[in-house]
Amino acid sequence: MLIAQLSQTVLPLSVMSSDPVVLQDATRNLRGAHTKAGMETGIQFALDALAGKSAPEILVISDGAHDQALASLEPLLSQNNVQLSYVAVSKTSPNVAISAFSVRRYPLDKSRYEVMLELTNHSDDPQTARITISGDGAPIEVNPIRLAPREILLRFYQNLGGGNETLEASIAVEGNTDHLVVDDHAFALLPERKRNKVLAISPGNTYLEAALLLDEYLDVTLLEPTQPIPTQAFDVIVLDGVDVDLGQTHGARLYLNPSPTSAPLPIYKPIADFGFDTWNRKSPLLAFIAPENIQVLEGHAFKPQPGDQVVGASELGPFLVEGKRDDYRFVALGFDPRKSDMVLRVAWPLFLLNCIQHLGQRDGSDYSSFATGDVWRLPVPASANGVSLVGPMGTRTVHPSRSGVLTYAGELAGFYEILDQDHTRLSRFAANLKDTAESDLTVETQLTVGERVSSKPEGFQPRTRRELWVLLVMTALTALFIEWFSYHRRITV
Amino acid sequence: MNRRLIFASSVLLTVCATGAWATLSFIRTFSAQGAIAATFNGVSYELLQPNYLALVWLAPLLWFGLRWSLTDLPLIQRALSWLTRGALLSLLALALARPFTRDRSEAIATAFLVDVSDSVTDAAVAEALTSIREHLALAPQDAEITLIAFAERPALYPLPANPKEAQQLLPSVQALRQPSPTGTSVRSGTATNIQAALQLAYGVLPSSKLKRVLIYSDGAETLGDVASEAGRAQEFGISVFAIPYTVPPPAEVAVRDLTLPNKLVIGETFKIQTRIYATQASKARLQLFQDAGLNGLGGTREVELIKGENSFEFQSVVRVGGEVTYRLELTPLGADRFKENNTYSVTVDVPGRPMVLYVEGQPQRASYLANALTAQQFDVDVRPASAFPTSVSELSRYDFVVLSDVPADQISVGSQNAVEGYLRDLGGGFLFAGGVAGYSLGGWEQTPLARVLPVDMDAPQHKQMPSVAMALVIDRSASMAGLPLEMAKTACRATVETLRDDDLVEIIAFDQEPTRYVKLQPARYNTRIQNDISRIQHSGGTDFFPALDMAYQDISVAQARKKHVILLTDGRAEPRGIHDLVQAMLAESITVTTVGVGDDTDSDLLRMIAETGGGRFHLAPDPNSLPRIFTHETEMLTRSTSVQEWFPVTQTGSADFLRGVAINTAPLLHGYVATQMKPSPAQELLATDTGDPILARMRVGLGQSLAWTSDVKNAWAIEWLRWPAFSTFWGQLVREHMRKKSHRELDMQLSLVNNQLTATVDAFDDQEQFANNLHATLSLKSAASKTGETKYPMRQVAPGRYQSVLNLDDYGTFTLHGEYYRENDDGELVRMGDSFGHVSNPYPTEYQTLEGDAERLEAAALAGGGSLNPTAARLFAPQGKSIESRKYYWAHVLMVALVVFGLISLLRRVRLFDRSFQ
Repeated sequence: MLIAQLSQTVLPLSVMSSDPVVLQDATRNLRGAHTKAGMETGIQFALDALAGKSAPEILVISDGAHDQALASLEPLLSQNNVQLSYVAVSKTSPNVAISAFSVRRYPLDKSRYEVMLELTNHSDDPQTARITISGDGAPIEVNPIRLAPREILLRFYQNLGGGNETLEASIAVEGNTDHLVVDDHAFALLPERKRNKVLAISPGNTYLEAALLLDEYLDVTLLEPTQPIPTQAFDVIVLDGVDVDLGQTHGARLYLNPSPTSAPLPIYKPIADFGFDTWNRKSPLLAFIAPENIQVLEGHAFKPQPGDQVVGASELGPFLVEGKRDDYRFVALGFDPRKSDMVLRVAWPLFLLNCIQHLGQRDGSDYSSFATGDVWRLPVPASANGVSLVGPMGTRTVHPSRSGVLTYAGELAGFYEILDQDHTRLSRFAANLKDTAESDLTVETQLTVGERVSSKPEGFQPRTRRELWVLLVMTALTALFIEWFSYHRRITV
Repeated sequence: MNRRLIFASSVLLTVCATGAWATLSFIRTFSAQGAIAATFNGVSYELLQPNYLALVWLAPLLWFGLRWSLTDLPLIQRALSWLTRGALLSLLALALARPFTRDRSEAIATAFLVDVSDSVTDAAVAEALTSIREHLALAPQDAEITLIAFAERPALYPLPANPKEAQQLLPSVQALRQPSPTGTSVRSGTATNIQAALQLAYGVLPSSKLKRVLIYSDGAETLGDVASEAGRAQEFGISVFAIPYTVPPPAEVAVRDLTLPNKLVIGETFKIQTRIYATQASKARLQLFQDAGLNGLGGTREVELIKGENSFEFQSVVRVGGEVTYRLELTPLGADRFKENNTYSVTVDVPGRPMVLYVEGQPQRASYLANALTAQQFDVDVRPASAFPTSVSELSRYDFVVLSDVPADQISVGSQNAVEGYLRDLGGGFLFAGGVAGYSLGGWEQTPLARVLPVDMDAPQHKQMPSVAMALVIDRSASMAGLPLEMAKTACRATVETLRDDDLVEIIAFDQEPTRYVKLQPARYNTRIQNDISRIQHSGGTDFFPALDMAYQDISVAQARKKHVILLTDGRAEPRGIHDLVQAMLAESITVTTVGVGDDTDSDLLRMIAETGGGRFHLAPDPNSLPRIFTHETEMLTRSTSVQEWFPVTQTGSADFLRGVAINTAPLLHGYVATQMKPSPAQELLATDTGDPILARMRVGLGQSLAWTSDVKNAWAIEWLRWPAFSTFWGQLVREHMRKKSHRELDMQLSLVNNQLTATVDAFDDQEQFANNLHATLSLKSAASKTGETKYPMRQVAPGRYQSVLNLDDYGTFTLHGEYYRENDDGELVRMGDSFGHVSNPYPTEYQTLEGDAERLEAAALAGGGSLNPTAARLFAPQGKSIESRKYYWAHVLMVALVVFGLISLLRRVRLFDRSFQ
C-alpha cells in the first residue's frame, strides 16, 4: 500500500509498503492544504505507482469535491485492470465563504482603489453574517449582510483611499452554520505606490502638463529647454521634442517626437496619416488603452536597434519603441501627440502615466493576491542569491531564485514575505483560496470517472491491518495462562 | 475457604488491577512527553506499543493456580515453575510492546529519472544510460537503485536494488522508450513532465535511506513545474540533482509562429511574419495558404535556413470580411525528424465593411449612388421597394439605410415603424431621398416615416404653388369598346375635377392615329372639357407612339412647373422609338405614368415606359379601378410641391462630413421637392438659393435621420453625377451618420501555458471606472471544427477584471469572442462591449521547445538542494547527513520466551527437588 496526500498536486507520504508502522507514520504526516483537490493528478499518479502491481486498487478518500473531468482516465483504469474505490468522508454541512477578494488601484487616480468581495452561501437556508474589512489590521468597513439560500453576492467598496498596505476580509456568520473556517478570511495586498521624480523638459505643452498633474504621486519638475538642468537623479525624464544635453542628470527617458539628433535610435523616415496597425498587447505602456482608435497626422518611423522592442507600429514603420542604452532605459514615441487625436482621448494621460510607471520601475501590477495551489513566480532581485520565504504560519524557508524569479507552489492562504539574506523584507504578497467549489461542504457519495461510478467498497472499514504474529502471541499468551490452571487442577492430566 | 485466603486473593486481584491501571497511566503520561525508553550499555531501547506491558500484571494471578495446585511437585519446584511461567508471560508482553532501538543510517537510495520524450534523441538516452552505469560502478554496496523513465508520464523500471547487479541489468535505449514492462498507463512522448517523475520517485524511495534523485533531461519541460516540485522534494528530505543532455537535438525544422497584424482592414495589404527554427542549417519550401487557396500575394517560397531562429515575411490582403485562416506549410528540403511542427495555422476575424441598404424606387437607376458608396469602401445592398425589410432585426444588419424615390404605398406601415425602431433603438442612420415619388409626391404625408424626418412635407403657404400640365393619352381602339372606354372617360372626368383651376390639361385619344379631344387648357373650363370627353368614341387599332409624341410636343411648350403624361391602353404597340421618346420627355422633366387595362396589355413595354419616364405603371384588369388610379395619380401630382428647375446648392449648416467637400463647386441640381424645416433639433445643412431645404438632419433616439429633397440619380441630380466630389460627399455623409457601435471593444489578454488557456479582459465604463457586475461569456471556436462554438462563463476576479480559464485539449487555431452585458434599471441585459482574440495551439509544445534548458535543470537542482552534473562521489556521499531507522527486537524476545518455555517443560517433567517418591 502507498499513501499519498491529495491537494492540488499529489504528495506520496509513504513508499509502497505493507508495514503498518510505515503506513501509520504516513497518515500522521497528512497535512491540510488550502487548495482544491487535483483528482485527475492524484489518480494519474496512483496509476503510475501501481504499474506492474498485482490486483491494483486505488482507494480515494475524499468528500468528492473537485472540478476536473476524469473521463480520460477511464480507459487507463480499464486497460490496467485497476479497481477504483471511493470512500466519502466528512458530512454535508452549511457554509458561508469569501469566494473572491481583490483590490485594484484606479488607472487614472492611483491614490484610490476599489475592493471586490464575493460571498457565497453554500447552504439551502438564508444566512446572516457580518463582514469586516481591515486595513493593516484595523477595521475600515464593517457591514451586516443577509444572504439568500445559495446566493453569490458581489460587493464593491469604491473610492477607498489611505495608506493601507494589507487588506483582510473576514466574515462572522450568526449561528452554528459556518463549518469551514479557512474560507472566512481572505487577504489582499494593495499594489505599492512610490513617488516618482519626473523631469519634464518641454517648450510648452498644455496637454503634457495637464496629464502630469493627474497623478498626485508624481514629483514633477517642469523646465523649458533653455533653463539649466538640475544634476540630481530623476526616475523619469520626459523630453518633449527637445534636443538638450542632459549631462550628469540620470534617469529613464521618455522621448516624445524626438529629432534625429536627440533620438536614442535612428529615425527611418517621415510618415503621415497613420495609426496603430500592430501593437504589443502585453506591453504595460498600452495598458487600458485602445490603440486602434488613435489617428496621427504626421510623425516618423524609427529603425529599432538590436535589443529594442517595438511596442507600436503602422504599416509605414514602427513609431513606439522601448529599449535600453548604456545607462538608461527609454521609450520613444515617433510623433507629437498634439498632431494626433490621442491628446483628445483618455489614452493620452494613461499612456503617459503608464510610461512613467513602467520606466520608473514601480510595481505596476494590478494583482493583489496569488491563488493557492498555483505555482507562484515571484519577482526577486536578479542579484539575490537565495532568498527566504516566510509563510502565513511564520515558517521560513530558503529558496534559490532563477533569473530574478522565485518559483514556489504555495498551498496556504495568507500573507507571505520575501526576505533577503540579511532578513530584510524585499516584498510581500497575499495568497487566497483558489477554488470556490472546495467551500461547498456537500459530500459526494460517488466518484464518477467516465462511465465508471465508484462508491464505498463492500465491508470497508477504515482500520489498519494487524500483523499475524501479534495475534499468535496473544493467543499463546492466553493459552499459557489457561493451561497453567488446567495443569495445576489436573483437568487435562 | 477461610477468610484469610479470601482476603489474600482479594488483595492479589486488587494489586494486579491497580498495577495494570498504574502501568497504563504511567505509559500514557510518559508517551505524551516522549517515547518510553530505557538505556542499557549506552543503547536506548524504546517501546513502540508500551500498553502491552500491562499484561505483565497477569503473572501474579498465576498464584491462584499454584495455591490450589493438585500436583505433587515440591513447593520449591512449584514456586520455580510459577516464576518461569510469569517470566514467559512477561516476555510475551514485552514482545507485544515491540522494543526497538534507533539507528542512524548513511545509506543512499537513488532514483535515476531519464527523459525519453520525443525531443530527446536515442543518443542522448544512451548518454544517460552510460552516465548511470558510471555512477553505479562507484556506488556503495548498501546503495539502493531505482530507474524511472519519463515523458508525459513516468514509468518505473524494475532493477535489482544492488548497484552492481543493477549495473548489469540496465535496460536498453529502445526498452526505455517503450511503455513500461510493468504495464504502466499509456505514456506519450509528446510532452515532458519532470514533476510527475519526481512525484513517483517519492513513492519508491525507501524511508530508511538518504534519498537522492538524479534527473537526466534536456530541461525542455512542457508540463508541470520541476523547480517548485524540487523545492518541495527538499522539504521532504530528498536531494535533487540533474545532468542536462549534451547530445544536440535531432535535425529538425519547426514553424514556431505565424504573426498577423492586430487589425486587418479589407482591401489593405499587410505583412505576415513567420518564425522558423532550425537545429542546423538547411533549406525548406514555405507555402502560405489563405483559407483553402494559396496566398495571392506570394504563396510559395524556397528559403535558406540558418541554425537557430529564422524570420520571413509574406504579404497578403483580405478581400472579404469574416474569419480568415492562414496556414503555413513547411516542406523540409533537408533532414527533419518531426512532421507535426511543419504546419502552423492562425485564424483571424476580419471586420467587414460598413453595410448600406439602398432601396430605390427606380432600381435601374440605382447604380450611381451604389457605385459612389462602393468606391468609398461600403458594401451596398441594392433592393427594390418590394424587398424593403419588415423588421428591426432585419434592418439591424445594416449600418445605414437609404430609401429613395419610393411611393408610400409600396412601404408597409410595419416597415416604416421598423425604420423608426432602427433609428431610435439601434442608433442607425437613415436617408430619405426625393424624386418623383419622394415626400408628398409619393404620398408620404402623415405616415410613420414622416414623423422621423427633419423636414415637414406640408408645402409652405407663402410659396408660389407650382402649376401642373397633364396630358391624358387614352386608347380608344375597338378593343376598348364598352366598359373599358366608359370607365376611361370617367377617369378623365375625375382627373379634370381633381386638378386645380390653373392647372393645364390635355386629352388625346388614339387608335392608329391620335386625336386631340381636349386641347391643352386650364382645368377651370370643366364643363367644356367634360363635353369634349363625352365625344370620344371607339374605333380602329392601337398605335400609341404618335399619341405620346403629340402629348410631348404639346406639353413641352407649356408653362408649368410639373408636366405629366398618363398613357392608358389595353393593347400592344410597336415599341420602336418609344424608349428614346420617353427619355427625351424626361430630359424635359415630363414624367410618364402608364396604365394597362385588361389581360392583353403589353405589361413589359408599359413598365419600361413608366420606369424610363420617372412615373408609375398600373395594371388594371378591372376597368372599374381606372377612375381611382387616375385620381390618385392626379392627387399625387397636384398635392406635391416638386420644383423642377436648375438651381445652385448652398451650405447653411456645419457638419463634419462636409469638411473637405467644397459645396460651392457643386453643380446645379435640377429639381427637388419643396418642404420646410421642422423646428430644432432638426438642422438644415444644404438649401436652395431660395431657401428651401435640400439636406437636413435630425437625431431620432440613438440614430440620425436625414432628408435629401432632391434625388440621387440621373434625373434631378444628373449634373451632380459628374461632380468629382460626388462619391466623397455621399461617402462622408454615410460614414458620419451610420450606426455607431454602442458598445466598446475591450482588449483581451490571452495566455496559453501547458494547454491551459487563460483569457483576461479589463472592462471600464464611460467614466473610465471599473465596470463591475457584467454578465460575461467567452465563446471559443475552432477553425477546424464544424460543431460551432463553445461558450464559457467569465468570472469577475477583480474590480473590472473578468477571466476564464479553460483547457485546450485540441490542437489547431481558435478564435475567441467575449460578450459583456450590463443589466439596466428594467432588469434587461444591454450589451456593453465585445472583445476578440485568436490563439493557436498548432502542435504539442514538445515539438516546439527543441533547445535544451539547462538553466531550468540547474534551478531545480538548486531548489532541491543538489547540484548540476554531480559526480558519483557527490551523489552517493551522505554529506554529513544521516537518516534514522528503527531496529525491532520483538523476534529476539520471542526467542528468549521460547527458551523459557523449554525450561518450563523441564520443570514439569523433571523432579529437581525432593526426588524421593511420596
